[in-house]
Amino acid sequence: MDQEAAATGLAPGMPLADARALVPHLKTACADFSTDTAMLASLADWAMRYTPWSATDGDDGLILDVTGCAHLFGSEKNLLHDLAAQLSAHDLTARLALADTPAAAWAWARYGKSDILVANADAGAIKILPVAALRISTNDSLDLARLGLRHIADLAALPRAPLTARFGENLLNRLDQILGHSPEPLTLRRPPAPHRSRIAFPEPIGRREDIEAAFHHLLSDLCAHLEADDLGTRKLAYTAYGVDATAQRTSIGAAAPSRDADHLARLFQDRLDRIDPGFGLESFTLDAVTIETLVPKQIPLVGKRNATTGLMQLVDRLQTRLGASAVVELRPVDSHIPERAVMMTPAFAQTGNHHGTDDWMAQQPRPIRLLPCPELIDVVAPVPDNPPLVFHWRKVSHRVARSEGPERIAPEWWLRKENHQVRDYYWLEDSAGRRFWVYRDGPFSPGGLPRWYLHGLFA
Amino acid sequence: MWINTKSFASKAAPPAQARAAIKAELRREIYRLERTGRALEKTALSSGCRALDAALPWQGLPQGGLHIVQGKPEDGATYGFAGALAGRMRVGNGVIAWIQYGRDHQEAGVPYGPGLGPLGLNTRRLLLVKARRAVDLLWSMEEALRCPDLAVVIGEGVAPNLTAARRLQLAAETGGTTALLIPPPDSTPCAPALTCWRVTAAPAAAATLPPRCPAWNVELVRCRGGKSGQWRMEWQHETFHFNLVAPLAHGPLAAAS
Repeated sequence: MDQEAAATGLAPGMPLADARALVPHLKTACADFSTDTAMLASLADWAMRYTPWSATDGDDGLILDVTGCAHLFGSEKNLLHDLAAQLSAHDLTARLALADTPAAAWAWARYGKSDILVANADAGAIKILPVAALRISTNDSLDLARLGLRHIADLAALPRAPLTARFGENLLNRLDQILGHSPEPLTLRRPPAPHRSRIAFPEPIGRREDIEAAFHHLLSDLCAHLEADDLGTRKLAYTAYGVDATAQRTSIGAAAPSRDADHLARLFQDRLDRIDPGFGLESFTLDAVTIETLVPKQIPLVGKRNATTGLMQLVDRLQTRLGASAVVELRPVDSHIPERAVMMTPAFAQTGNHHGTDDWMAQQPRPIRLLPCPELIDVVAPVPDNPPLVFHWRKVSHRVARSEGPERIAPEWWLRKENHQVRDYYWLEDSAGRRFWVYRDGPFSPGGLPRWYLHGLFA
Repeated sequence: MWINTKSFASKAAPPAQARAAIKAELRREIYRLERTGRALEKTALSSGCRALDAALPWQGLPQGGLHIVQGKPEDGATYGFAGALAGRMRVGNGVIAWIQYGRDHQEAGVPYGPGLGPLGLNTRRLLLVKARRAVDLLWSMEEALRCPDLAVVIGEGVAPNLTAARRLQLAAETGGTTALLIPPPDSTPCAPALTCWRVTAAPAAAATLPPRCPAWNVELVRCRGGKSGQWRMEWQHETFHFNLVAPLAHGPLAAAS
């Protein structure tokens, strides 16, 4: 609700008919809550220029924990004035409060007299606020008003036990939170990174070269910090803050902890193209989102270098461009079902729940290619249990010259369902010498036509 | 290029044996002067088949270069031969990267772990990469080839143009890795590759009933500095080497039955 609307007497929660009576030429539109939420979230991201501890609060609030950040702007007052100026520059009407506890700031931002407060909870400013500022239900605040308890100060003066008996624990809990007697943890939008470096420019920048230069500056700074602490990062996030209060975040992951600036920069190569400068970018942050201990290793002077590092860096580059699931390793699984015997896991991913042997279960010949979905084929085969003589696959007819089988593979009993049947696998060689792996789905039954599938190709 | 011809000129017609030796020496000198001569810096690996090794100018399968394996559609022989080549060219405990189009998974199937072991591929040292576009596939091949910690990079489903193929060859030279390219069946790649093979399935030998020892008709279509040739080969799954198959007296088994 902006000031102009407030001046006409409109208020949030007002019935539409009343509002129309007050302002006859009122234009109405349906509320778009998802856009509002997204807008608030992007505002919370943008507010990370003040502090990494930023969170959304309800439908219309932001909570920033500026502990230890205010001195960067001169003082708490300067920070608030800067924030107010930035918000009004973007046509956002805001009420700001800075207090010792989140509850006090919340209360003053909604019920305080002036727009901006920099105050201690003890100073008494909070205590003159109405009890509704305690974030209690409307019923409770009405009940309190009926008892003559209109201000927080009235409540604070009363003995606690009768209050708890009458209104429950929540009221006193809220009172303690606003006065700073009990803590109130915040649910952060993004947990602050353990290591971060930030750069801000007096003038907004927009050229790709500048964005890259800023990135390299931040990266070398961050890597130096990581090296000093014997740490490496597995996930890095680069955030660009635009002049139009937008925040663009792009991140990369690494298979192994690293603080190799060249390697990390290569992973970001394509990502930097995706940053849209828009009207200009005014500051950047680089966060090491996950860090791990990385003790420096002695490089052997003579002999072979460590092959795993090069390989992991290659996997990182491939995964960054193609996606984590696009670079996989094959792991054996204890199962006789052909398609279940192999598990594809992202390369170098630590899979704790890997069980089974380290070798393939099958002793019988297996194809080198497996079709992800077995393909239905038309078959001429003598009944009951003979291999096919002729089969049609992908519109081509193959005459079987030699065959071997069957190898019967039964479904695992705990998976027994309608669509899991016993399969009889045959190895077939056609007249041209091509080798196929086909199976008959289910045992032969008189009267019913068995269905045949092609499942793999042999070398 | 300057070659010491004086020493040859001074002699009268040398005997045939010496002439052959001189030719071989000259040929080797030319390789060394050419850029692809780098392939000679690494020792060529034996294919395990004497006739095949002798037909190749490197006396074996050269590392650090691009090789093309062509085949027919829906034929496992192409992948089998390429896999077997990779298995032979894997030095020590080297890692193999197999790069495929995502869209080809159903069409050509995916490499199946239990079946790769008999080709000499250690699945614990195998990376499978899935690319969505041709650009991504060629890029990943190049990146992988430049990494000296890999032994062999197999790429399939893409037919590079001259420039792309040249880049692959250069990347393979830089990393000292071997590139195996399986183009789509209907394409005719004219790439600057070291060797170009055409493979079709052949009926397996009569003695081996289960599909353990696959047989292939292998044609060496083009070979840098060498002659083309044609062989019927069999893969020995226990010793991991190629064998020449003598043709059956009465034609293949299939025709007889």
